[in-house]
Amino acid sequence: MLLVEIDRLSTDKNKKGYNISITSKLLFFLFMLTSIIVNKSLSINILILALLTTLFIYYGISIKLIFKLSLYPLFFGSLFGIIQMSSSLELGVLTILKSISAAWSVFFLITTTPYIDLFSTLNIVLPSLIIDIFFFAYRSIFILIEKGNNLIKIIKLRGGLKPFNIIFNIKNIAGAIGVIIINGFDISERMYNIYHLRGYKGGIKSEVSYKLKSIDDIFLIILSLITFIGVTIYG
Amino acid sequence: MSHIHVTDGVLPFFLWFFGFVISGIIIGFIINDLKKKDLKEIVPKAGVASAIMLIGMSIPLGIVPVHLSLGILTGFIVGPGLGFIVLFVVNLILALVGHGGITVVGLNTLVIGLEIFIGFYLFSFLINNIKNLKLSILISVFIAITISLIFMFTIVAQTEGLAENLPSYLHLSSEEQNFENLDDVLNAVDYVFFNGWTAIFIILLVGILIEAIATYLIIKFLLKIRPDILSIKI
Repeated sequence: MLLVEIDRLSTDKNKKGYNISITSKLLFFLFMLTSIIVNKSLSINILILALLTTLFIYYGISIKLIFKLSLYPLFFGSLFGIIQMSSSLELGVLTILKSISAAWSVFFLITTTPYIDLFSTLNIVLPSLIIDIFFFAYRSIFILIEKGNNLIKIIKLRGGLKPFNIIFNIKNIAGAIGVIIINGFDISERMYNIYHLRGYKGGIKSEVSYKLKSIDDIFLIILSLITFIGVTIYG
Repeated sequence: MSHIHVTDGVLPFFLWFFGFVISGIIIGFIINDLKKKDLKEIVPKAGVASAIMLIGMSIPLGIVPVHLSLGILTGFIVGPGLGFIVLFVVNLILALVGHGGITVVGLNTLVIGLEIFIGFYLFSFLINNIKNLKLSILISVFIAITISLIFMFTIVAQTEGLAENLPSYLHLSSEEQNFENLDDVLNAVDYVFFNGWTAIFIILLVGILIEAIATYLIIKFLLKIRPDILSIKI
């Protein structure tokens, strides 16, 4: 699953993007997303895409991964874009470009920011209960994916999936999902008990530094501000 | 199934903004209500339910161009209130990986949240009256998803106009796209041997049936092995 690749990339301390403060990355994301949503210019969107591509290359983010992640927004953006082309070619192309550039600005954030920092920062706007659920959900995804893969292998080895026998397969897959759900709950309860033993009473605390760390922080903020101001004036 | 896949910058500002406002208000009420409960009951369940939904939404069905949401199943496991919060978490994580825009998270939460609420309470009503698990689940899932699909199409139609929401539109040349009315557009939709309203109806029906059958089989399994996991009372 792509989430595994994103997780590995975002927590790689050798990557330049890891060492940028989350403050500047979030500000960059917010300014860029706003610029993308409000602008009505093809050339500005193309510039934004070029800017994001340059940043991906500079910060060592795999273009192959970005391409794989872009398939979904590209497909649905194209769907709306091609529909709008019947009234205006420019509007249709603009919709497609906006879809990709909005998605890329999100991808820049998630591929350079560890999930702990990202979820902890969401605590500024979301209640701590929701943040705790984020942490548990994120951990559970990887556990369940691994369990699911192993279970499907076991089912196949024991003849639980037969070609052209849809009803038999559906029943077995439903049972497999049920087993995964039960295992998932057991693991989660154990996880909670471990947290509880370590003093958890709600609100997972993590130390996130919001201070600007390097010249890259200032560079990103200035870049996004220039883009935003440019869109306001020319967009 | 009724997940809005619209990317950022497509829907009007007022729509997605109020989507966030309304979702936020509902979440606020739910959290206030959940304060009375032990965190041990809430957090692990919600975490696992979120993970299950995320994995379920990543699996394409193959025979129809839709995916499962397992939203109503989630509602049956964690309850409709916590289910709504789970939905918000799931939609935000999906938006972070490009599956739908960040700006439509609020709207997606409302659309699938509606599905969970209707599915849960309709099931509770049916199981007490008709006392048949299979029928109760199939009917409640069918009706809940149908209503949330109508809600979803209504939202998406605010951008494009109803006729242009059909996927087959993009396969046509610019000459063919000069339709005079909605009927012409609908006749262009194709699925297997069918077209028009029939094709749309069949695509959606197959998707809803798969979701309903999957929900029924999983609930039946859980009732046999670990009925304590479920929030529904049978």
